[in-house]
Amino acid sequence: MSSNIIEMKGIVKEFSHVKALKGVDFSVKKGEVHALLGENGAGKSTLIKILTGVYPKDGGEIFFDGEPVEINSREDATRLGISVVFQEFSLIPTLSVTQNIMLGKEIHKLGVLNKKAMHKEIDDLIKRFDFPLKPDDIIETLSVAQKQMVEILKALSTDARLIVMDEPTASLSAKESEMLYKIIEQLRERGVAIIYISHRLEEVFALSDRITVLRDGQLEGVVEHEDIVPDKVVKMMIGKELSDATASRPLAVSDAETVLEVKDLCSLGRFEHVSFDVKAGEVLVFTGLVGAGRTEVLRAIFGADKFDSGEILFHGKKLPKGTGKVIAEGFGLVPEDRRTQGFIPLLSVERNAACTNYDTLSSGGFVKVDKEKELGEKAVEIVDLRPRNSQVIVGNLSGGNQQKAVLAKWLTRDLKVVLIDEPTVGIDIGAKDEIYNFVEELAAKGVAVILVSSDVAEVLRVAHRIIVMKEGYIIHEFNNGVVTQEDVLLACSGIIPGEKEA
Amino acid sequence: MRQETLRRIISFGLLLVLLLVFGLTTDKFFTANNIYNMLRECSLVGILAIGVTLVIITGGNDLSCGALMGLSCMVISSLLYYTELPVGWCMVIALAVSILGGLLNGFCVAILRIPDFIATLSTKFIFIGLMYVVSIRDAYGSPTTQSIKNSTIKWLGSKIGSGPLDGMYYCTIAFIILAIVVQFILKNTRTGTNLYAIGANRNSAEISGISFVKTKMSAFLISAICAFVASLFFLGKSRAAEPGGGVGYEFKAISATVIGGCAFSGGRGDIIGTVIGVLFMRVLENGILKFGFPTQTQQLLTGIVIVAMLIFDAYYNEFMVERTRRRSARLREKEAVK
Amino acid sequence: MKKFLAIVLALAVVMSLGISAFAADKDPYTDELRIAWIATAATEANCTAWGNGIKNEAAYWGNVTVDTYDGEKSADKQITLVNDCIAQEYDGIIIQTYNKATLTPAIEDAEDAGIPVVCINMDSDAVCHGLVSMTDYEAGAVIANKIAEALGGEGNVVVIQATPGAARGINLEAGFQDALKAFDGIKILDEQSADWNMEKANTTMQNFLTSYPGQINAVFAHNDQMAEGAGMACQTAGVEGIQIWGANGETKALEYIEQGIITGTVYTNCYDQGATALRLLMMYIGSDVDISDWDATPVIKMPPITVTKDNVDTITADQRW
Repeated sequence: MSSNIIEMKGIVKEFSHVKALKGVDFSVKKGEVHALLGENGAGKSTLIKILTGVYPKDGGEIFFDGEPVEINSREDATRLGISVVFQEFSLIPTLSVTQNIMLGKEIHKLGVLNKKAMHKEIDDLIKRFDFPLKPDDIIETLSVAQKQMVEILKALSTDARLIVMDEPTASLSAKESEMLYKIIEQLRERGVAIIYISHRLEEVFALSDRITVLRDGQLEGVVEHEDIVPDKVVKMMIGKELSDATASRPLAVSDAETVLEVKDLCSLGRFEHVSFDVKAGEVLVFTGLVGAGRTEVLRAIFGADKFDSGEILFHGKKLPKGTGKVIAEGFGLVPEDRRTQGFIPLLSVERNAACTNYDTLSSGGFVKVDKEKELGEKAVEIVDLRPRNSQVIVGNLSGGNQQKAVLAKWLTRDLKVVLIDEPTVGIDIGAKDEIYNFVEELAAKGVAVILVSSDVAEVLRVAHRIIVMKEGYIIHEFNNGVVTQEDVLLACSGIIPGEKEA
Repeated sequence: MRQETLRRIISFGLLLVLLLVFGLTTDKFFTANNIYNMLRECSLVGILAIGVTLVIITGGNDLSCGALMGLSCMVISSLLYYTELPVGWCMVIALAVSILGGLLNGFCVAILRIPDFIATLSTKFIFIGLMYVVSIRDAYGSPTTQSIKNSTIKWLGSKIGSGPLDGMYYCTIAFIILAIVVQFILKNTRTGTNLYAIGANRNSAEISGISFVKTKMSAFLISAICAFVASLFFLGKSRAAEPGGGVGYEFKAISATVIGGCAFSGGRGDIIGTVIGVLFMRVLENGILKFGFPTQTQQLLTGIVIVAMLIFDAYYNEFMVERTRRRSARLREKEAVK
Repeated sequence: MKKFLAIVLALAVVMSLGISAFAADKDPYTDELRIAWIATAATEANCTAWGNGIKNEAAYWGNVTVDTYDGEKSADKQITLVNDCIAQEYDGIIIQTYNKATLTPAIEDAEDAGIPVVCINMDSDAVCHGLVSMTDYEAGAVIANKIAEALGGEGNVVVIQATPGAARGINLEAGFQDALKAFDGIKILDEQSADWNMEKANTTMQNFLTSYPGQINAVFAHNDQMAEGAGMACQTAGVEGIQIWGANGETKALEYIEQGIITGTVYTNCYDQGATALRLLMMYIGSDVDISDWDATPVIKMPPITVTKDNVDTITADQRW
């Protein structure tokens, strides 16, 4: 028998000719907590999706408990004993804990459920782990942490021997996270292997027996618990041969006029006491982990969400509320989720661009078609859209060109402040560079840019100043001096440079 | 409090209010005759609504059930008129037709993946068309209606003549039995759990090995069988099948399920709620007659109630999400202080 | 489940409280009486006219209230309404049935419950206390003769029929067909139902005109509304010289006759008809007439007046409805 519960050898995966995984080896020993680290796009989630049968692999082999296996569906994975505790919960909200855990494997006689037996089984299961749950609780009434426990119980009830936890603490409070760590300990004692994926490096370092680091679809290395040195691991994630452009960046506060000033902005449960200012021609980057509250701050400024208290001053005057008024002041927002918020997929580039420009395009409620056409041509020109056709339907464009179409909506306007959220997610490298150029051009024209990004290389590529958020608070600002990728990455997990020595 | 619980309280409360208002302001409302009559009328809608409830729980809809009921009536009536078949066989054939109808719905929705609304709207028209095709013709070849003299059919439309339930119609008894049986299916069988699971979160239900196709199919099949059962009593009530009969009943049935707490998004609702919804609509219809309002007032009030319920559903969810967010935030703050 | 049982129980308790006493025989002259008038569609001209006739007559009595119920053009809705009226112990029902067959059990139930039923124009297969009808078989025959006369015994006719199953339609049709048997030269080209409805008849007529270009010499519609629809269709299509006949005699049809859009109709005074129905009903209330051994519903036929352009001015404004 093998000491490895799972062994993946030379896994290859391609997405439309882009290699996401370039022959990755990955193995997990029985009963260990194995962390999988890597930056966004390193191939972590692709690897996990292959392991759990969501994606088919394009090459390589998988061994489960020493036996070669083919995992073609989620059911295959479950049958083997591989379960996933998802970031987005896959429970049935209107059913009870018992019903959810027993779903598909109910105790029954001719289809009639034996509710008593099921209740007892789940009650026993809950008691074994001492979870704060009752078998009859309805899922939608539970807290996030409790839902996660149900997920874990569900995995255990299928005799899972390997549980994948994908960002399990992302939406948990500190206390709830503590509880989860205890549960992980319990599972380890029971001989259940765990693959742990998290951006919170501290907890990864504390919990894991081994760490596998991936970078650019390749195995970067495996670190034993004894050998874990945070800086070393971070270096592995970032990579050794850094290009100069993104390894580090000198920052400086500009002395231009302050355009936007945010004072003590609070929105309960989203972000707290957020204060900062942006100057004309400056690129201010908000970074941090998913769920840190960055997008929420942008949306609050733009008037898309309400906030509880605080002030937003634009050129020293209070910014009016409501997206329409904010746009009229010269603001623009390039949202994170292009497909649902950035553009209207069924309309042409021209029409999409016109959406933000109807104040100048129409009179008396009627659109001036010739002006609209002119605008479309201008939009295509500005962002160098390919194909150079303003009539093409945005939904049919590639990711990079879609993002350009979104930018075109705003670049055709006379902007003062532009809010950009994760602009390069899912975009190929060539288009990324173009988008950075637009950001720089905007700044050069004196527009104040607030950019949210989780990609450290990107942060360092464009930032004039960097603000780090964690769990709704601003925890650090990089204003002056040279900053490196390591600094930023550690700061995101709450390890502030300069404080770590102390 | 859960949305379901609150909704149950509200819809039950509304029913009680109606009963009180009509009971106090109009005489002859709480007479055995009137109550049994109200129950008789709502039993037909109720039987259909039981089937529709299952379909709505899976996140779908069934606009064809009324027409299917009419078709089943027409099949029985035409067979009795044109053939010498015993009435039992006529019913078996009508049941077969209904099951085929249900399978057609299921096929369109589960296998062809046509959205429920469009699929059942189309099959509704198919059923109406078939109803005219199989209808009884007069001497000039145009569709007509003929009274059925058959004693079994007459019995189906009659009431109990003695005992403690003297005066209750057989269709009401069928409704009550069916309601209890289907409620049991929903809450105590795998099929029931699967219906909720597919409706509330199809992806994870499928991951748990629940078949979308089978589940949808069974929902439409039960709905079709309900339509068949309703058709027997529908025929018993009028003892003749008219072309186009039963069409429109689907909206009464759907309205009842919505008042009773079913959500079109799926995963919510049960038969108790639907029974309350059916009773509510029927009491409203019956009581409104007494006030001398035009009968359309009933539609107006039903519409208002449904809109109010839908608004409640939408905002209650939003409200609960917001509250949970704030609660957990406060919790976190407290921890931070510690 | 518990809650459900609780509801059933509660209803059972409520029922046992309200034990209904059998209604004692009432005196039609002194007791408060409630009469239900169930129209097929409360908004249509003939229904309104009948309703007004009934209410005017009720006003003379003083002790009679009439509640008008709308059948919403649905036999099923009418069944529900009749059942409601039985349960709520009305003293009499006047009804214009939408479907001859499907209303039968409901009207039987009403009669069984001791509530006299008088039908207007359209009855059911059940024997009830009376039917006050416009002439139908005879009207059909009169129209057939009029058409044959105008065509000189040679020509093609189309028929726009009532809703399938409506007794009045069936009778009009029978009278029409039987009378036409005497004229070998007149052929019925086609027959389609337009559900008593003007718009539908308009479409039907347009279809006829395209299907049988230049062949149609006359149209017989089972009511005036459909005749009006057919008349409008001919006018729009620019077709002239077609004999268009309706039946009933509503105001608009009379106007159309004056304008020459339709040829003629068989007029009945609906106010009188409604009043007659109520008078008949009042005669039965409190009487010891037993209808259980009757073979058929007694019929009162309202005097018909065949109206064409020549005599339309004899129907005075107060007789128009």
